Amino acid sequence: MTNPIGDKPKSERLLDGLVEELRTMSDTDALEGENPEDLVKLGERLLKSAREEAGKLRMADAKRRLAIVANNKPSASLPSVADARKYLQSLPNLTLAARNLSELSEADVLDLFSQAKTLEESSTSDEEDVNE
Amino acid sequence: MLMPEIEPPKHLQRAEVDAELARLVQDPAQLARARKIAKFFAHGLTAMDWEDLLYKAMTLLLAGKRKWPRAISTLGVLKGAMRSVASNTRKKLDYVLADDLISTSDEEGDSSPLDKAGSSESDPALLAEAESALRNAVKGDEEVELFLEALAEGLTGTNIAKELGWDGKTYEAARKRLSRRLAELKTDRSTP
Repeated sequence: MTNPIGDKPKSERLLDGLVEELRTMSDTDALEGENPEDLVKLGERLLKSAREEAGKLRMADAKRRLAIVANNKPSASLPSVADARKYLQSLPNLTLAARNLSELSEADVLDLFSQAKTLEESSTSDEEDVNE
Repeated sequence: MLMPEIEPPKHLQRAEVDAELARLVQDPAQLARARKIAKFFAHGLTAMDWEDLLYKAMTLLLAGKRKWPRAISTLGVLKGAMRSVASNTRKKLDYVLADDLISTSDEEGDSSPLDKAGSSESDPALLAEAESALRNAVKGDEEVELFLEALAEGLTGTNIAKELGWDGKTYEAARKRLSRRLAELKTDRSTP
C-alpha cells in the first residue's frame, strides 16, 4: 500500500496542514480579533511598496541583460527609455498588446527592448552560422 | 472544424500576479490568513517582521523572481515565497555571524535576501523553530496540542475530528483557538 502522505517530514506536513486549515476556515473565524479596515489599508500599502520595488528590480534586470547584449556587441550601447520605445515602435512583428507602449512602465519597456535585442542577436548569429 | 486548444502558460503572467495580489489586499479575511502564515515564519527573525515577509514575498512574485504556478492557491504561493525569504534572511544572518568570527572573503557581497529568495527552498531549521514556537504557544491547551499532532500526521479537516473522536463543534473551536495562537505569535521584531 502506498503512503498517502508520502515521506514528507512531520514539520512539513504540519505546515501544509496549517495552511489548509486556514484556507478552509470561515472568513468570520479567520478575521476574529482583526480590524478588517486596518488590514486592507495595510495590505494596500504593502502592495504599493512591493509594486515599486518590483519595478526597480525588473528595471535592474533589464539593464543587466542589455549590458550583456552590449558586451557581446561592442558597438551597441544602453538606450534611454525613449530610444527603447522608439525602437520597439519600429518593430513590425511586435504583438498588439506589447505595442501599447505608452501604457508600459519604464522597466517593462527596457525589459521588452532587451528581449527584442536578444532575439535579434540570436537570429543574426544564426544567419551568420548558416552563411559560414 | 475543431480548433487546436491552446494551453495557458503553467505560471501566472505578470499582470495576472498583480491582479491576484490586488484581490488579496481587498480581502481582509485572506489577508488575516496570510498574516498568520507570515507570523509563523517570522518567528526568530531579527531583521524583519511579518509585514516585511509579506511585502518581500509580494515583491518577489511581482518581479517574476518567483513563479506563481497556476494550480496553486494564493495562500499556498505566499507560503512558499515567505518561507523562501525567511530562510534566506536566516542564512544571510548566519553568514554575517560566521563572518564576524572567521575572516573570509565575502563572495556573496551585499546581495539582499530577495536576490536569492527566488530559487531557494526548504530550511529545516527555520521550520523546526517555527513549529517549536507554535507548540510552546499552545502549551496547556490539550485539544489544540492534539490538533497540531494530527496535522503533523498529515490529517486535515473532518479527518482530524474523526481521528480524535471529536464532534464538529469541538473541531471548529480547537481550530479557532489555533488560529488565534498563530495571530498572537511574537516575532523578535514584535509587531502586533
